Amino acid sequence: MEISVEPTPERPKILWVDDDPEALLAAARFFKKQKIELLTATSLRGAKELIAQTAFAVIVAGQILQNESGVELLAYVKEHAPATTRILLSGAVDNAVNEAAVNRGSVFRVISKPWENSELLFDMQKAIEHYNLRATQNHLLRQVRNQNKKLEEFTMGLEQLVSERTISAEQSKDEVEQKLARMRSLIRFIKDLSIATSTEELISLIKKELKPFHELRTPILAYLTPARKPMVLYFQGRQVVEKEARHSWSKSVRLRINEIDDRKYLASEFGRPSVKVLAVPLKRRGGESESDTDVPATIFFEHNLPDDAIEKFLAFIGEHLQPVSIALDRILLEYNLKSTSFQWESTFDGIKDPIAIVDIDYSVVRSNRQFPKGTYEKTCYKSFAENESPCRGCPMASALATGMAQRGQIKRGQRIYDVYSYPIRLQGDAVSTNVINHYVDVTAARDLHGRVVQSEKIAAIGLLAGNIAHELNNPLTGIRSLAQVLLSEIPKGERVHDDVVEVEQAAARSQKIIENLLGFSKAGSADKQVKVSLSEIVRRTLPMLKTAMRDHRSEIELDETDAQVRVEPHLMQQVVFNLVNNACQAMTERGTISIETKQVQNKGSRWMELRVGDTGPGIPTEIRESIFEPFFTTKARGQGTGLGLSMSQDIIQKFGGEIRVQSEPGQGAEFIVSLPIVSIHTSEAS
Amino acid sequence: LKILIVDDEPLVRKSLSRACQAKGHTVLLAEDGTVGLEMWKKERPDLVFLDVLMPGLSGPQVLQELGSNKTGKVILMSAYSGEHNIETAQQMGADLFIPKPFEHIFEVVAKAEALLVHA
Repeated sequence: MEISVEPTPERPKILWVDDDPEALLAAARFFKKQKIELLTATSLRGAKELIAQTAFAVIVAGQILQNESGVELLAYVKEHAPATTRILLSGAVDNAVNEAAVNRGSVFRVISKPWENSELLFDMQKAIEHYNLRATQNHLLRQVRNQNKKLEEFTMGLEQLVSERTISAEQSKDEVEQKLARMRSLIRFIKDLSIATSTEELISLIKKELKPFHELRTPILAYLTPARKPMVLYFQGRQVVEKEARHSWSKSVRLRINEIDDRKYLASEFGRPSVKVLAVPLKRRGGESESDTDVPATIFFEHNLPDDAIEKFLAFIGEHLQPVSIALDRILLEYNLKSTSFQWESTFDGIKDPIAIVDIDYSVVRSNRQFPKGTYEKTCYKSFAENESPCRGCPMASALATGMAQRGQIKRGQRIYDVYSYPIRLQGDAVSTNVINHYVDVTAARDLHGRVVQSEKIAAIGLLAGNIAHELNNPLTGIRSLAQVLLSEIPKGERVHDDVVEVEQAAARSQKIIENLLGFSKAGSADKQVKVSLSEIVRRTLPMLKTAMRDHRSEIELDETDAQVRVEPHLMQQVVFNLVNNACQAMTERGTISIETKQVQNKGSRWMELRVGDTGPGIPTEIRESIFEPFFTTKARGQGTGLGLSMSQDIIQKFGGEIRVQSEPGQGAEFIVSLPIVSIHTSEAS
Repeated sequence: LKILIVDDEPLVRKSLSRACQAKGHTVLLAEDGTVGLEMWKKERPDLVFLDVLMPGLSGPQVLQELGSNKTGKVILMSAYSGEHNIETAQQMGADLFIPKPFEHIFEVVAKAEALLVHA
C-alpha cells in the first residue's frame, strides 16, 4: 500500500506558556535565532485558545500558571492534541509535581529554570523530532485507517457484488432446474409416446400430460386412418371411446384459437354446444409441403383458459407437438402394417392346405391354421406327422441345400401329402435357413391315380389273358376232340379207355378255366349290370383260386335258390377273388377258409350275403378302420398293392351293397358282402 | 362226302379228320388259308371246315378270294367267339358257325352232316 508522508512544517511551532514575562521574553529571543516559531501564552485559557487554532509541535508549560497548574494544561493537551510533545518547565525540583506531570500529562521532558540555552535547544530539537515522529506516525496511522476504511468499503462492495451475483446465480440455477425438469418431463413423455401402440394410449398420454392446465377439458383426437377413414377418439369419463367421424373437420395446418369452424365441428360431431376450442393440427412427419393432406390428425381442446394462460399452453404444446405427431404417425403406420399382416395371415389361413415356415432344424417358425397348432416348440415332423425323425420323402433338406424349390411326398398316418419346399432367402443371406413348406393332400389323387393304374393293369392283364386263353383254346380243342375220337374207337373196359377219359376230362376242365378267365378279363369292357346268382359267380371264380386255396381246407356252402343280385359279373368275380385270395394269404399256417352265400333279411329287405372267413391271426383293432383305405396293406412290399379291399368296397357300393369285416384278434377274420336281392324268379343268365 | 379241313392247329385237323373218317368221309387237310384256297378250287369239296384266324389268308379272306367259285357247304370255326356268330358267318358266305372249343367232336360232325342232308 502506498503511504504518503505529510511534509513536516518548515518551521515547527512551539507554544510557550508561562506567567513569567522575563522568561517568555528570553525564550522568544532564543527561538527567533533558531528560526523556530514561538507562540506564547500566559494563562491556561490563552493557551487553550491557541491550541484550538494551531497545531503545535511542542508545548512548554510552566509549573504554576497564575495559580493554575501547568500539569493541568499538559493533561488537556494530551487529550486534545496528543501529537504535541509536552515539556514541563519547572522552577524547583518538586518530585510530586514531576510525577504528576509524567502520569497525567505524559511529558516528554522536564526543563529546569533557569535553563542553559544549549540544553534547551537540544531538548527542543528532540521534542520537535519526537513530534515529527509522532506526526508521521499519526499520519501513517490515519492513512492506514483510511486505507483500511477504503478496503472495508471495497470489501463491502465486493461482498455485495458477490451476494448479488449469488442471488442472480441462484435465480438462474432455478431456471436451469426448471428447464431441466421440463426437459426430463418431455423426455419421459416422448418415452411414453414411443411405447404407445394405439391411438387410445396416445390420447390418454396427452390427457395426462396436460393435467396442469385445469381449464382444459379432455382432448379429442380426430384423425384419418391409413385408409383415409375419419375417426374420432374422445373421453367418456375415464374411458376412451373411438368412433367413426360423421362430420369433417378443418384440415388446415394452422394452429387455431377459438375459431368458429372448430366449435361448429365439435358441436355437430357430439351433438352438444361447445364454447372455446383450441385446435392443434398434427403434421405428418416429413411432410414438406403445407398441403392439407399432410395433416392426418387434429387434437381439439375445449377450454376456459384466460388469455395469458393460452400463451403458456401454446408454449407447452409447442414443445410436445412434434413427438405427438411422430408417435401418431408411427401408430397409424403400425395399424397399417398390422392390417396388412392380418391380410396376409388371413390369406394363408384361407388356404385349405397346411403351410408352415420351417427353419433348418425342422422347427416350425410360423404356420397357418391348417397346420397343427400349439406345437411351435416342436419340429415339423413331430407336429405334422407325429414322426420322431424327419419324414421320409421330405424335400426340405434338398431345398435348403440347392436353394431351389423342391417337391417330395410324405405319409401322414394313412394320408399322402405332396410337400413343396420353397427356400426363403432374405436379402443379404448367403444361404437360406428357412423354407416354406406347402402340404397338399394327394391321397384322393393318388387313390384315383392308383385306380387308373390298376384298371389299366387289369385291362392289360385281361388282354394278355384273353390272348393266352384263345391261344390255349385251339390246342385244347384239338386235345379234347382227339380224346373224344379215341374214346369212340377204344372199346370201353380197356385200361387205355379210362386213361383217355381222364385226358378228355382234364381238357374239359382246362377249357372251363379258360372260359372263366375270359370272363374275368373282360374288366374295363363296361359290362352292363345283369341279374345273376351270386353263388354262380362264386362258383365261376373258385377255379382261379385253386392255387391260393390248395394249402388250406375249404368249407364252401352256397345258396342254391334262384335269388339274384344285380352286378357286373366280372367285377363281382374280382371281389370274390380278392376276398378269398386275402383270406388265404392271411393264414400263414394251414387253416380253414370258409365261403358261404346265404339270404338274410335286413332293413326290411332281402339281401344276399357272401361271407369269406379265415382262421388267421385276425385284424388288430387299431387298423380295422384303415383296411378299406387305398394303399393300406399288411403284406410285404411287392406282395400287394393295398388296393384290393378298397376296390372291392367301391365295387360293392356301386352295386348298392356293403362290405364289412368282423374280426377278433387270434380268432381270424370274416368279410361280409351284402347285396340287395333283385329277383328270385327264373334266372336270365347262366 | 369230300370234306376239306382248313385249320392251322394240327390237333384240330387231326381230331376232325379222324372223326370224319370214322363216319366214312373223305378228308382233305390244309394247314393255312393259302393252301386251303388252292385245294378248295382244285378239289371242289362237298363241305369245308374253315378256321377264322390263320397265318396267310384268314377264313373270311379265303371266302372272299373264292367268291363265286365257292363250292359245297362251309362251316366257319373260331376261338374268338366274340368276334363272329352265325349271322356274320352267313354274311361272309358260310353256312354254319361253330365256336371253339367244341363241347364234343362228334356233335360237330353230326351238325356238318345235317347241313348236307338238308341241302
